[in-house]
This record gives sequence, C-alpha cells and structure tokens, in this order.
Amino acid sequence: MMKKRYRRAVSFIGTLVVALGALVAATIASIIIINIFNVMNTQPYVTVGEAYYINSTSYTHFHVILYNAGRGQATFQYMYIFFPTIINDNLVNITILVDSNGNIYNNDTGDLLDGSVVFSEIPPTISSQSALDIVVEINDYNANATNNKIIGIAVFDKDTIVVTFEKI
Amino acid sequence: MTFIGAVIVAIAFLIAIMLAISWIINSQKFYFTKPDIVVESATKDNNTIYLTIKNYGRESATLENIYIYEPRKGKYYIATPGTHVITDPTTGTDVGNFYITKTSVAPGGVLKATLEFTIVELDEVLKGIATFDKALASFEIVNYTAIMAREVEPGTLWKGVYLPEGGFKLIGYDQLMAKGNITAWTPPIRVFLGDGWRTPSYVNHDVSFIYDDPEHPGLYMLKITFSGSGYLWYRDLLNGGSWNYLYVKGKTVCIKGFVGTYSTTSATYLSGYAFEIDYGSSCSNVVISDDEKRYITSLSPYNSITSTTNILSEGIDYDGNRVKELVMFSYLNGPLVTEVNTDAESYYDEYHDALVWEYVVAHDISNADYIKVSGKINYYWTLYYSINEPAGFRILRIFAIVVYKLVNGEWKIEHYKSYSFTWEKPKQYVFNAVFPVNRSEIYRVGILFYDNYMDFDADGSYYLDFTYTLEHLVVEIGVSNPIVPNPPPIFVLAIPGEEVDSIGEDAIGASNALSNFTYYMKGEIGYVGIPGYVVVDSCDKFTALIMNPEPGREPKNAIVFDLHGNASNVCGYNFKDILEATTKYNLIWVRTAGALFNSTLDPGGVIQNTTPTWLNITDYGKYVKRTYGPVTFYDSLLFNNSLEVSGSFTLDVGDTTYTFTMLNATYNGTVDGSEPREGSVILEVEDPNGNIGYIVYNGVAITPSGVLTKGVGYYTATQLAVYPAIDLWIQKFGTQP
Repeated sequence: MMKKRYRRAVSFIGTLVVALGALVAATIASIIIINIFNVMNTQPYVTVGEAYYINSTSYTHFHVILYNAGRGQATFQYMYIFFPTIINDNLVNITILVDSNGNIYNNDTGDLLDGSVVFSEIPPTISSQSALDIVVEINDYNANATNNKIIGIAVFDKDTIVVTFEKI
Repeated sequence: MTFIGAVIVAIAFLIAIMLAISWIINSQKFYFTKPDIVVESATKDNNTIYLTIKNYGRESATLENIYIYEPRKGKYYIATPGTHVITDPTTGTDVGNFYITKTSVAPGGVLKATLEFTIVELDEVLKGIATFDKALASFEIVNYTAIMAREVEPGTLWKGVYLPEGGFKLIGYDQLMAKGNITAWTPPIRVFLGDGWRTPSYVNHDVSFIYDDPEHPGLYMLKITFSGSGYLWYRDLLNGGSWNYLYVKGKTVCIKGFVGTYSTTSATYLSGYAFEIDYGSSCSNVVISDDEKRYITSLSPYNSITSTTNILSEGIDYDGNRVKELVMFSYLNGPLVTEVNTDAESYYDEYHDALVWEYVVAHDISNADYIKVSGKINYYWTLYYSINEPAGFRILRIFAIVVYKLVNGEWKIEHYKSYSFTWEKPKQYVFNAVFPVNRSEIYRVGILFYDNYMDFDADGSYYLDFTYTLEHLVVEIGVSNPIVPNPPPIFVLAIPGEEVDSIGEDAIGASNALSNFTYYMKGEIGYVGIPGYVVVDSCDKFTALIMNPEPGREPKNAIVFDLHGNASNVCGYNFKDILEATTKYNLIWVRTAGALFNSTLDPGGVIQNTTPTWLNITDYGKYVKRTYGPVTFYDSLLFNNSLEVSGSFTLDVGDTTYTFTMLNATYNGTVDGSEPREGSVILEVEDPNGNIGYIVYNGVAITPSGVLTKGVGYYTATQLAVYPAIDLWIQKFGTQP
C-alpha cells in the first residue's frame, strides 16, 4: 500500500516537473524568437490616408497622403493611376504612370505627358511613422469616372498599396 | 489520477503562457496615429474665403498648403502659411493674402483661415483641399454673398443666411381633399330680432356695435343698447330647445360668436347664429350659452345635389384652367353650372343661409418661425329677390386665412387674416399672408369661409347666398435663423485712432490690427446670421449710442463687442465709465482682449475687496475639452459644465462699489494648462442701485491650477467672444425659441 502511494507521488511530481520545464523552456524560446524578429524586422508598412481627385476644364489633380506604419523606410518607385477619359469622342481607359522623378507617362503609349508632380519629401521616401503627400497634375486628360472613384497603385521598394481617389 | 492532475495543471499553465504570448505579439503590431482633419465650414463672402478647420484626431497637425480650385475656369491657387500669400502656380503671381492665426492645430482644436483674393475674381463654383503634414481635407465653398443677396419680396420676412425653409402645396380638388378636412357648421343658437309674434323686424337702438369676438376668434360679437320695443328670439338647435325670447327695450344685449346678417341704419336688424347671448353693460348676465358647434356638413355630387348639400363631393374646374376646385355653396352659382339654391345650413326649408365652411390642412407644424399661406379663391354671390343693394347693409368678412395653435389639447385660432365682401362680382382672390409662430408650439393652417347674410327683411325672402371655390393652397414654413431666432442689438466698438492694446500679436501684424479684428468680428457675427449690427467707429457715435445718449435714445439689453482690448482709455472713457453704462443700460459688455480689471485706472483706482472665486475645471469640462472644441461652446449644456464657478466679490471703482458674480466660464486649452489657454468668463455686475449688466471677459488665461489670472489677446478669441455673449443674451434677454 505504502509503496503504491509512493510510486503515485513520484510519477505525479515527475510528470509535473517535466511538463512545466518543457513549457517554460518553450515560452522563453518563443519570446526570444519574437524579440529577435522585432529587432530584425525592418519591413515598412505603407497605408493610405485621404486621397482625392478633382476635374477641371484644363487639368485633373490627384492628391494622396500615404503613411508608413512599419519600422523600415519605404522609397516611392512609381504609381499607376487608372481612369477612363475621352479621346477623339471615345471613352477609353488609360493608365498613367508617375515615377519618382516627377515625370508622368501614358503607360500604354509611353508618351511623356504635360503635368507636374509634387512630393512633400524629396527624394520621395517615407521613414517609419511618417507621411508622404503626393500631388499629381495632369493637363492632357480629364478623368471621367462615372462612380467618382479612381484607382491607383503606389509601388514602393518594399511595399505596394492600392489607392482609391474620391472625387471632390 | 496523479498523472491526469499533472496534465491538467500543465495545460492550465500552457493556456496562460499562450495568452501572454498572444498579448506580446499583439503589442508588436504596426500602428500609426494620425490627426483627423475636417473643414467645418467654408464660405465665400464677396472675394474672400473663410475656413474653419477642426482636428478630431488624437495628434496635432500642421498646415502645409490650401488649394483652391475653380473647376469651371480650369484655374487653381495655392495658399501657403509661411508666406501669407496666395499664388497662381500657372503664372507664379501673387493673387491675394492668406490670413491665419496659427499653422498647427491640436487635437480638438480649431484653425481659422481667411483667403482674401485681391487680384482675381473668384468663380461661383469653388472647391478646395487643405494639406497637412499628416492629413488631407477636402471641402466645397458655399457662396455666402449669393445667399445674402437673395431677393426678398415686399412684405415677407427677412431671410437670414441660415434659411431652412420648406412647405407643401395642395393643387386642385383631389389634393385638397386628400390632405385636408372640410366641415360646415353653425353656432348652435339660432337668433334674430323680431316682434312679439316672432316675425323678424328692425328694432331702434341708442348704440349698436360690431366687434371681432375675442372669445370666439373668427366670429363677431354684437353689442347693442336698444331704445325701441322688440324681442330677441333665440333657440338652441342642438339641445332641442324651443323658442324663447329676451325683451330688449332699454337693455344692452351682447350676442357672442355671431355669424349672420347685421344691419344698422337708425335701427338694428340681425339674423343668424351665435354661441352665447348676454345682457347688461358688461355682458355679464348670461341668457343662453352653448359652446358646441352644430356640424351640418353635407357632401353630394354635382348631379345629385340634395336640398341641404353645401359642399360638392367632386371637383369642378370653374375658371377653365384645367384645375378642379373644391366647391362650397349655399346657392350654387358660376359660369358652367346650373344654379341651385339649397338649405345649406339645414334648418327647416329656409334658403336664406348663414354658416361657416372650415377647411383645415391635416399637417401639423412646429419648430418654425413663420408660416406663409398663399392660395386662390373664387367666389360668386347671389342676391335673391331684389336687384337693389340693401341699404344699411354691413360689409362683413367672407373668408379668412387661419392659423390654429394647439392649446391644452384644443385647437385655438392664433392668427387670422380676413377678406371682406365687395359688390364686385365675380371676384377672384389670390392671397398671400405671413404669420409669426413660436417654435415650441404646434400649429395647423386653414381657411374659414363665411356665409354671413341671412334674410334682410321681415318676410325672409331677401338675402345673399354664396358659392366659394378653393383652387390651390401653398403653405411655406420658415425658420429665420435656427441659432439666433431673435437677433440681439449689437455694437462693435472699433474706433480708429483710439488706444488699442493686446489684440494684435499674431501673424497679421499690429499696425492694422483693429481693422483686421473688426473684419474678423463682422465675419463671425455674419457667420451666426445676425443682421443689423452697428460698427461704432467714431467717438461721436460711441457717446451718442452707448455712453451718453439722449433721453429716450438709450441702448437697452445690447451686446457691445469692445475690440480695443486692454486699452484703459477710449474716447476719454475708462473702465469706470464702462461699468456705469453696462449696469445703467443692462448691457452685455464683451472685453475681447485684455486684463480682467485695470488696476491702473486713473483717477479713482480699483480696489479689490475680496478675492475672486477660484475656477476649477470639472471632469466633464476636461472631457469636453478633449472631445470637442470651442465650436461646440454654443451648446449650453457643455458651456455650463466646463468650469465650476460660484460666489461673488466686490470692487470699489472710484467711489462706487460694484458686486460681481461669476456666472459661467469656458476654457479652450489643454487640461494641463499648457498653451493655448484662452477662455471666457462671464460676470454679472450690479451697481449700488440694483442695476444689472454683464461683462464677458474674453481671452483670459487660466493657470494650470485653474486660477483666473489675466487677459491675453488673440484673434482666435473672436469666436470665443461672440458665442458666449450671444448665448448669454438669449438666456437673459432673448425670447427662447
């Protein structure tokens, strides 16, 4: 009887010690791993703030403000803007390419377009917890989106983000 | 068992550790706090744009540029805070001035910007984008000037900048019947003058009057002192009463709530219906009284009019304009109908009628400042038996536009505008009437049509009957100004050349600070839609209007926005004079900048007898401060709970002791007391004679511990000056909406 109780006690304590030891070791290891990842993580995380566009009889303006919520710096490479416009009385969809040097191209034809690009930072980079404001003026085409929304894609060196421009 | 127990314990530990790891991972997620910028108002007055921008986020924002777009012209402009100019980027030229009080806006804070275009003439369609370091805000600009310049028809109410107005129109029979109710009725008591054989007759009088009956609005009251022998016969038709009479010789008789014929030459003749008959010089002896209407509504189609039909149950286009009218008649007449005489009042077979048709729109109205009723009525009268106009015939009203108010559960007539009979026929009225109403009450509109003429002679065969057609009704409901329904008299005290202190230490520059401050103040007063303010711009006006007016020309309950800030002397008047005027004329004097009390007052000095009450920011006030900004100060609830104020103190000013009581205070700054710390404090001030005025100290600073200390001047203080002063005026002098 005594022997049996002794064996039960030994098996309980032994199992508990082994289980707790394993768990504590696993926890310490995971915390270390997480911290290592955090320290090593330099990935930027670009998000969109507000984005607007406005049409006029001689220009189309696009305004967008982008944030970097990540930990690494993000450098703007280029941005596509897709919108319908009227060319020779026909409604056609065109793609505009805005590069980091402030040039604007018709991406379909490769033509350099009349307009301007203003970045709030030059060169256009966003460090961690900062913002980048981009104003694009296009003089050759008038955006003609029926739902008053225009889609763009901003490409950074380490991130890509979709921008929805709202008409004002 | 022991093994299982150990496993359970281990699992519990495992769960705890997993939760901890989860928390750690969550805490490492990406995040970004940003301001949330909203352009609260964007208005254009002439060629100047006013912006009020608020930060609803939890981080400060710094303004970088404001883009103003003219989409129709294909132009745009950029206003830059650093240079204070507006440029046209396509030409590179400066086109105006950019006034701004500061460039950064704290959480909950407000930024006011003015863009004055001096070279270009702005288009009517304008849009904009304000770019901040971490936010964008778009806006459309309301053309203030266009609204202000609206044409106002003669006779209509002034319409302010804020003008919610609406209403409804009922055109033609179908809409009128679908959206309204029509009844026909008489007062219950049939009454006429006659002889002893109950035959109608004239009776000689000493005095014979007809009034609008104050107890029965819309009906008449007759008051006649008889000199001749005669009998006033009466009978209550509702309660089965039989004929009775009052011998009238030598009596003053009052017939109340009367509709019917009333004719006087040297004698009086009357025949109709009434609610009450009294006698005695003060009409205090009641002969008979019954307040219940006798409804006799009888609708029939045109082709089957009965002997008592008084309303057609179908529309007829009387005037051929393809709109069918609602037709009411006691003698159907008109260009396209076969004439029919009916007993419209439904009393035996007597065709000489007296009755009222009452059309009421089934649409309750509240929260309005005025109701305007327009419409079109045709009427045709038929003089039966005689072709001559009866002598002594009284011109009585034939219809009235009515506004009813719900009073203790009953609809009472509040307003009516009546139109009288003319011998011209046919007659068409296109009427238009405006009635002031109280926002807190409930109203309905309607029209009363009268058939006022029964028999003119003793045999009862000589009378006028009517046909009315109502074609359309337009009811306009308006609010003159939702914020300030009853505009206060306002003086803006800004006298060029007089002393100015502590009002111009911002980016605009102090050299023309007073004119800039005046410009801001006028904009702010206009923003809340108050017309008629007076800019006091000379010492003569200051004396004549406020400080020493002629007897009978004194100001009363006015607001004075004193833009001279901390000046100790304006046109020779000092703080002592201001206190005297404030209490004497019950003014609200707003010190838009400057110290609470100028202790250097000379002569006399100011001696503070007791310590002013300390101010404590309540927890609610802290919440308000964090959550909202000064733009919400208008809300009395927030306003009254921002700071705890209580108690009073006295000041000896010269040889006069004034008692000051703190009423309200508000605060625009961070709770920890760091800048900005603008605020407003309202004091009630009482002179030794018991006269009471109010002083609003604006721009006062409040220390971190909540102690009221002294004043500082800011252009941003403009808004803080206007709202508390108007709020106070409404509380103390204004009629509450």
